Amino acid sequence: MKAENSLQKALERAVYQTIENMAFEEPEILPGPVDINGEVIAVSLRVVSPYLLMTMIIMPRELADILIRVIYRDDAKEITDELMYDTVGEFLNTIIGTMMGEVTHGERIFEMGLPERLEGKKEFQPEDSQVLFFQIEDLPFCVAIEGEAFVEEK
Amino acid sequence: MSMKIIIADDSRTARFLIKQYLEMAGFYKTDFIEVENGREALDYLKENAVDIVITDYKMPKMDGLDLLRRVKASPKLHDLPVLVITSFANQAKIDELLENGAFAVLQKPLSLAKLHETVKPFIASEEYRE
Repeated sequence: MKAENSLQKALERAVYQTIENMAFEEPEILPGPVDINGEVIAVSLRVVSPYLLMTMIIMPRELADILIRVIYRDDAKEITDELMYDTVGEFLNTIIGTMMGEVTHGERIFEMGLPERLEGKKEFQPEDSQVLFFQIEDLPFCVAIEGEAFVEEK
Repeated sequence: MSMKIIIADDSRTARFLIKQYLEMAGFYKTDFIEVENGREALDYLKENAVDIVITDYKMPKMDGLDLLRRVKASPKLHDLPVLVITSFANQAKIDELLENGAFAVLQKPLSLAKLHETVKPFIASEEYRE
């Protein structure tokens, strides 16, 4: 785990705020990296201004399923792959928008892309990335940021 | 008389949450129309009357700002209230949306209290209560 910095704190707060507001669950931050086993739903989102960042969320399919059932309650008829990627993508979109609002103090303009499915196994380079691990109901997930803002913050 | 609200967002879950929050805020006698982008919203609005437009900012094909500009430029649609709900939380963007005629800009994740405060005037309207 990297030394604490404002980006990390902003990301941590954004994850709490987003998951609590959207899925009414309180994630617990983990002190270090853990393996995220089994099938996962992975989504990326680019920030293109004022920094170039690649952000990602990697969540076990089982946890995505739990959160979708919480959100949709009686309306969760069929949980398709499309709905899983849509929901996890909206989590990431909201987390990164919230975090960027905080790190730019709501003043500097920032631009983001649209969430995209991330295929294949993703390896993080510790020196280029900020990865925070959380868990809900003993199921870990992570949110990662790679790019120049992270380098600037170190 | 029921109200009609169109919700434009490329995320199905975001649309669902907005709809749920609006129902919790008091819009229980409301018909919700869901579309995935500004283009679909505009196509719908050309043929159908609604009471409120709620739109995301960042969407494929046509974004929320473009939709807002087109609504406000249309003699038929320009009085329609447009609420923008976005994860882009910087003041310059918010100012741009307000200058282009949005009646409010709310930030994701949506807060029920803020949404309620923003849409309260519509719920309180005589027409809606009848």
